[in-house]
Amino acid sequence: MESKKSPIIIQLSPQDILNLRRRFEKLSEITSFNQDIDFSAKIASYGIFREVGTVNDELARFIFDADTGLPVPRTSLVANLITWNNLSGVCITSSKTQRLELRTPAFYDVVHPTLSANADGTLHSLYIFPEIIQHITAQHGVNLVLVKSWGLNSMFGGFDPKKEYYQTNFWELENNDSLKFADLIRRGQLTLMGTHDLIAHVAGVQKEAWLPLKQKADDVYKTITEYFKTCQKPSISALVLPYTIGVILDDLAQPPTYNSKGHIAVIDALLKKLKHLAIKPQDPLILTEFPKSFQKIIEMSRTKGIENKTQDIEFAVHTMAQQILEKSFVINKSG
Amino acid sequence: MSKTKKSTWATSTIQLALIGAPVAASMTAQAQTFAPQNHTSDLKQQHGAHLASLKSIESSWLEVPVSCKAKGFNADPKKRSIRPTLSQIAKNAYQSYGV
Repeated sequence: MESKKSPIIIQLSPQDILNLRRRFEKLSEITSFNQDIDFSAKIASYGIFREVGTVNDELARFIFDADTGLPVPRTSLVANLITWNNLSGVCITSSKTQRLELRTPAFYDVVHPTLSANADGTLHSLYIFPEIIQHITAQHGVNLVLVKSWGLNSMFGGFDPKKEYYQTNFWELENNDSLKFADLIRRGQLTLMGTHDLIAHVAGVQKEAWLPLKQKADDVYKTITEYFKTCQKPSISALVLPYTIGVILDDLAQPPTYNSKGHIAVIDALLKKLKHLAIKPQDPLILTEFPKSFQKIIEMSRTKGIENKTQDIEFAVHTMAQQILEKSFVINKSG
Repeated sequence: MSKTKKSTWATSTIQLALIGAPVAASMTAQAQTFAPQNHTSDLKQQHGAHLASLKSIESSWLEVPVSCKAKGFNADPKKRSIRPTLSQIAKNAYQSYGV
């Protein structure tokens, strides 16, 4: 039997990163991993690599020290790009310990079991290979994709490791990203371009949950499309409700909250509000304050049993729409 | 790498005439003075309005917890160690790549 070679660490020079970016820029807006699995794996690995150990690292809080039973310090996590057996990937280690354990079950599915493990079952490293992960998700009927605009805004653009993710959240609001996200989900697609994608959506993906999820995403996509059909560039005021829907749909597309009745009930109430055109997207509005009840709506969707309180949901949604209108001013175009 | 969105936000060039009270649904019929023929100008004004809105809402936006915004993962780590197990599909996948 051929002996297995050890993974090799790849050091990217600034020119290498530039070349990666240039090639990425030439992609279509949506690229399936299957179209170019090697390049897609490199991009996915790079996206994870950029985030590990930073404030935007969503894996960190699930990586524990097996000896202390505590999470390893996020800042102790180090990522390296690697290649192994013609696979591109990323390897995560901690400077604090070589006995790691993962505190969410599905995480183990996306970490190479033999490369990563110590003899006692703890992990010395986390070896992650997007190509293998694509193979796993495909068995569940879900295909991994790259989204060019998202990548250009994050790993190749607007991402700043020192800043909280709110920076790109603003981008998602103003670019109506809920629509794109809903479109991906209804087509059975997920991005894999960073730690959020990996831990929140890809790890633990379940075929059975995706049929109703796709149907709900289709509903969201069609409603938002219809809402904006006469409007090329809607106001921020008009974008808040769709953004809210997108946040909740993102939750719904996460394995721990698959099929959540609460999330579905709140999405439905928000879609109903859109259909009623409470906020007309073509109105030239400037929003002066983000609605205070946004947080309440999100928290409601995450509350067990909320689906039995439809009046409360509808009142909260109505309140948010009113707050948006009250804090919006019409532009009077002069000259 | 681009810097924060703040640095790219141009000062709004829209001449704002805040017409009386904030908009209520009944007021949206007022003061529509767009010239439909000047499409490019409309888009520019709309873009300026976008920037003005984002600048205006920034402080209230920052008050919203990160957990309520997009790209959050709302599960919590398990309180105790869990047995490392792979799903059968994952096992098959790794084996197919020569584990």
